[in-house]
Amino acid sequence: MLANTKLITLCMIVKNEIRDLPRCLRSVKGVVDQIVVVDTGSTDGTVEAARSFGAAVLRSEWNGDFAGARNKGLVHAEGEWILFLDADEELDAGTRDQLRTMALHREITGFFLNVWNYSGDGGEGATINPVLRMFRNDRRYRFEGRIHEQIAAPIMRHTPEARFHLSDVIVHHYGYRREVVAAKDKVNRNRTLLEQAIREEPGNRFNYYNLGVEHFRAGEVEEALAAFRKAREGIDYAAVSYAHLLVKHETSCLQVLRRWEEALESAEAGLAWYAEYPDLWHAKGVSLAALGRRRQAAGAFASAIAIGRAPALYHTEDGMGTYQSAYWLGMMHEAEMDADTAAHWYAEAVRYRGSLLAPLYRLCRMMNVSARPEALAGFIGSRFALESPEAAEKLAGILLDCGCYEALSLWLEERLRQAGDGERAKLRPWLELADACARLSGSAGKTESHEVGRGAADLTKDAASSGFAGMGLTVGEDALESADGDGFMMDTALTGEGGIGLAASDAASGDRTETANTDGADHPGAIRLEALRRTEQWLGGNGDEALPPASRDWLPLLLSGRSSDATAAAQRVRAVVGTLLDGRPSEDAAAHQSAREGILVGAKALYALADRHLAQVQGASGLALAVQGIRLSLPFSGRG
Amino acid sequence: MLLGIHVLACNEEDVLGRCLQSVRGLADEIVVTDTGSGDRTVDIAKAYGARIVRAAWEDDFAAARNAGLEAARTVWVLVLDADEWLEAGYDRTSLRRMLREAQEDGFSVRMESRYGHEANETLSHEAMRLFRADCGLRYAGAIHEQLVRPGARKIAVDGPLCGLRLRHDGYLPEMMARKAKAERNLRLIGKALREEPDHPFHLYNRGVTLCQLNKPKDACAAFALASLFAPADAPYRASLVRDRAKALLAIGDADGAAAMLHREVDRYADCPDVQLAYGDSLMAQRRALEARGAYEAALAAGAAAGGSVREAGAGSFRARCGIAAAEAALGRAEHALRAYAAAAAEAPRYGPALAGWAEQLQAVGENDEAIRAALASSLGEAAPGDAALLARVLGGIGAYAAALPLWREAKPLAPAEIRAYAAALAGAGDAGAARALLLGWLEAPRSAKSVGAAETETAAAVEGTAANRRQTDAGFEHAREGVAADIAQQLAAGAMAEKVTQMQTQAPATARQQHPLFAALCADAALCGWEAGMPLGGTLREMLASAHGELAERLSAVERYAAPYVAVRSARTPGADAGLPEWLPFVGLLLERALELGLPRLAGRLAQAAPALNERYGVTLYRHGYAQAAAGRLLRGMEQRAPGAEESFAFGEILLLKGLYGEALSMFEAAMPDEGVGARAKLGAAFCSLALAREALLPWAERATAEFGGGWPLADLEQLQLAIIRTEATGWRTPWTAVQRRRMNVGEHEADHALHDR
Repeated sequence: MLANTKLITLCMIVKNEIRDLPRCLRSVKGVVDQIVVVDTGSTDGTVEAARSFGAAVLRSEWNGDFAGARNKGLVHAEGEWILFLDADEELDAGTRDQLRTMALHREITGFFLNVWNYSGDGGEGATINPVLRMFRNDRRYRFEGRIHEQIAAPIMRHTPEARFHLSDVIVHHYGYRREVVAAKDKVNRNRTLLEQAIREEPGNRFNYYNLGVEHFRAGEVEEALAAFRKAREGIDYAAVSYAHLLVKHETSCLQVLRRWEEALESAEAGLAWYAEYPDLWHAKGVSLAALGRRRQAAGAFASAIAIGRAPALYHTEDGMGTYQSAYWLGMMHEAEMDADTAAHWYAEAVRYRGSLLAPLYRLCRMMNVSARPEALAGFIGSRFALESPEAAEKLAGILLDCGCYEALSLWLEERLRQAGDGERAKLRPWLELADACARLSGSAGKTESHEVGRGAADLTKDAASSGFAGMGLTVGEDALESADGDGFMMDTALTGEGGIGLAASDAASGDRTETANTDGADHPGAIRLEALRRTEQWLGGNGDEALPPASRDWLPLLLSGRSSDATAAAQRVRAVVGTLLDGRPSEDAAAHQSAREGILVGAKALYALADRHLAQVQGASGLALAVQGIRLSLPFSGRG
Repeated sequence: MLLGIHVLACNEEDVLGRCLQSVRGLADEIVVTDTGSGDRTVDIAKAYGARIVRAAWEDDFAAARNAGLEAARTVWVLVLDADEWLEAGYDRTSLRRMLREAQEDGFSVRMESRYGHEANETLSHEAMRLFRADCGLRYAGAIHEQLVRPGARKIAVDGPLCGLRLRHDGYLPEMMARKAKAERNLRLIGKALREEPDHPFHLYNRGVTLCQLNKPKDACAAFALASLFAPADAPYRASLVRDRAKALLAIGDADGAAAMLHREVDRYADCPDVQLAYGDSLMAQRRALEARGAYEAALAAGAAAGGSVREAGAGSFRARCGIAAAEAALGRAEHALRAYAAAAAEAPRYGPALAGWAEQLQAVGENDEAIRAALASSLGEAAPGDAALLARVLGGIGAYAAALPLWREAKPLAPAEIRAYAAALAGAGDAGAARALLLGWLEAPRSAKSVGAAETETAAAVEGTAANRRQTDAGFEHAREGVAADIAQQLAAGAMAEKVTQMQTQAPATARQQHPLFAALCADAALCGWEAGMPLGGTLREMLASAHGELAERLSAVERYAAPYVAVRSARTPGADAGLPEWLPFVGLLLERALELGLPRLAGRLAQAAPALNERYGVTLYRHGYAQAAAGRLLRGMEQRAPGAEESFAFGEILLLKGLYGEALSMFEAAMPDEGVGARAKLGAAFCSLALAREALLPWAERATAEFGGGWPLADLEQLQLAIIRTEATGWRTPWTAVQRRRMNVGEHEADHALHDR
């Protein structure tokens, strides 16, 4: 790099960004040759921080005009290229160096970078959209638009033959994470500005679009829907580049409002224009599923998968056409009692994104309900390549949580045969856990007929004083409307945190959710086993001591298991669970949290108890499928 | 000559006239092919001016028909069977003009076959019946013969509809029975199979015939084989799928039926019959949510134009009744009500629709008079038999007071109707009148011959329904198969009738005594008499003694033992002894019938006559809807000894009604090991666990924010709600009919009948 030839200038506008700015500027080190920062009135040390990174800082008064503020900085840029970022963004470490190479292609007018928008609290995946972020430094190219500044339009106006290129460079944008939004009240500010812009330019549909987005983020879905519809009025689908987004957002609003028929219509209308947009196929599938038309829903999800990742010109949500669609397709087949096909698609979902947990839970649960332990063990062994002992432990935990004790034993035995010493040490406790749980749950081969008479009589003596008595509440009539369609969880966001690290095909994406909680602490298997031992001790004790806190997690197993051989113990378990179920929300944060955790465990215990009773009925002729359907509808363990 | 009518007949003197009368004046000649009648068939034919062609019967329908065709002297022929007739309303002139100008070789007609006497029990299809006689078209196939073109390869002939409609009643049970048609068909099919082994069409027909002979198990085997060989595009394949499903359901293999239909249902998306069968099999599997979807698909298929409906109502009122039953199972009474009302609007005299509608109206709280008015206005113009129909439906939901005026109006009454009328009288509190009515029928002198077809067939229908219901009962004692309350009553009648008929030892003397319901009516008369304080009485005793000796003995014995508790003077019959075989079941049966009739005081006395019955009496009361009375008994019983499984279950349900889920859970768990009630107890226990969970989560729901997808605990609550709905849909709870629901708060020693309107 010659001393006085600058290739890339970073231009930014900031105000009170001390928290995020350093991260951003660190990420451009070595990539850009000049940094120009326009500050509109910081009071928190932002200016000093910027200067410490070598930036030239211009102070300017803030008058509500984003474009104007940016343009002030452009005047001082000396590089051949202008790169612009926001303070709450960060260049991706793995791909940023490509910018220097791309900058050598001077025949290109502008480069699109892939902005990954993280929303929620970070665990729910990202929406990805390609945006123009690096362009030739030309005096005629200036930003337009007060709130959402545009540069592509002005460029094309001045240079009709301009060439653009979509790069692979990724920009991580954290600005809409919940806590950040709350801290800066960005949503309301944007909304005010947008409403002002609409008053000034009533015909500009882009403002309505953005207003809709802000309303949606604030949870005002009806208003968002109205704004999107206004934006879509009379639109020329072929000409407006973000028109597909309008359709998608409109469909999303209708889904959140549970207006499934309309959502379906909206998706289908959109598909007439954008047949290659997997998000719309996925939305169509979700709506059909909610309407109970599972077969057609499966077809829609399959179409989404056939397309795969959306073509570059679409703003797509992470997982559309890949792991989300595969997951839903699995759920459709599960509901049709087609376990093998469902298992395949759950495995596919994990293949797309190795950190997913929900498909694994569903897979194990489904196989447990249809009572096929060997099939499950075999399936896991052949379909999942576990890269580390930690991954194996996580999977073992899931199998245990879902009650797949026999499958766990079978699979572990096979795996231990080929395992190294380190792994063997970590996995052995799980084998013991599997056996212990099988014993406690009474599923180790013994039938229920042994419980006749004695168990029954003992229980009836205390009939009136059952541990659950005195709940006090009467259940409100129809407290919830009966479920739409089949009541699939509309929560399409799959947790990526604390993932397993199963073999995934998209290693290049630099999956940010790495395997957490495995940094050499006590092995989870050993910890759990210890907790179980202590629980068994408590169970066999004389009843004076309170339940050890670590044993709480074992209550579901204790409640639903065969404890009729120690009926006093069974009563104690019930008493403990009953107390937990009495927990209520509270103003005191600590008490509230404790009560909430108690309810979670208590509810899980009841689900486990119900599942056990149902499992025993499943053999009755003519009821097998009906009961399986009930068991698969039970709330999921491992969430919440 | 232009058009000739060709009829194949053998001993058809009772129907031939109807057939020929319907075509009078249409054609230029009538040809009747006779294969050896011994009755007045030939004379009747000649009276209508027909030419007789005699052909020897060689177990070959095609050959017989072709013999007639050979003798045709007309250009066109219209083929009818003797038990068919042409529906009036066609235009002779335009028909003849069409034939003169036609390019085609043949036309098909619309066939409507009645297979039952209930309204809307018809099948319809199209058949090639009108064709040119001079281009070599002939019949092929010893049975279920088809019209084919001559040549090496037999191609079936087809043609457009010509607007004519033929009606056929040969499938009515009495017609089939009279001519032993089914057996004959079976023989012929067997012959065809020997010539063409594994031919799927013959196998299919074999299955159908076996169903007609009430042998569903063998039919399933035939259908299974036919399914293996039938080509994918065979025109009868949809019917094969549907009939096979029905046969599987009849032998109780709901899983098999559902699995088979699950594979086929996409291919026949526009065939309402197949979709309806799928719905039925899903209901049999207790999967009401899925069943509703299937019934809705049937409705959609029926609405689509040009659907290939065979069974009347498959795509309309039957599907609606299915939807209604599913909604009722899912606990959505309002939806069920609407669906039944819609079904009744489409088919005003369809029994299940009316019965279901009445039941749901009662469930949502309408009073009896309002129910009667709604049903009556739906029937529209009165037709004969309406009064009896309405009375039966109203009696079925326990609206006795509203039913009585209708019974008085309805005449004449078949035995099953007499029984229902008497039950209404007893239920309304007038046991004496009930007894008088029954005796009136029992004692009436009648000659053997005039036992009308209607009477035997109603009895047959009752028996048949009962048999079917028993067969589809899958594991539950009290299956809840749709909500036709009067069918439930007929089931009881069937059980009773069968039991008592088994005791028949001597050959019956009179035609009345021949009737399958005779014994049941006698028992009813006895019970009503005891209730009203009257002994068996001389005439009844004699009648019984001559025909049903054992029954007479046992009734007398019961009276003798019940006598000390009954304020009645009765003659002592020497020799009767409680050591009679099957004493206990017999008294138990009488006890149940007494409760059905709404006579708990009498039932209580009967229970005291046998200690074993007395012990179980609490549960028995509960099963018949006397929940409050049962609760008292159950509590007292539990103080003295450990409760049995059934008692625990009943008590659990009672606790459940009060919202005491925890206590109910313990009760259900106590009942779980039992073989009989164990499955339902387990479901009940699961229900309680889920209800407890829901109770615990609800307080937390208020604070939750509804995000996209719903945060905790809203997502959990949604899943729970679904699981609870599905659990309820399995029908584990004691199924109470409308009649029984009225008795919930009746104490044991109060009036015997709940005269309340609700």
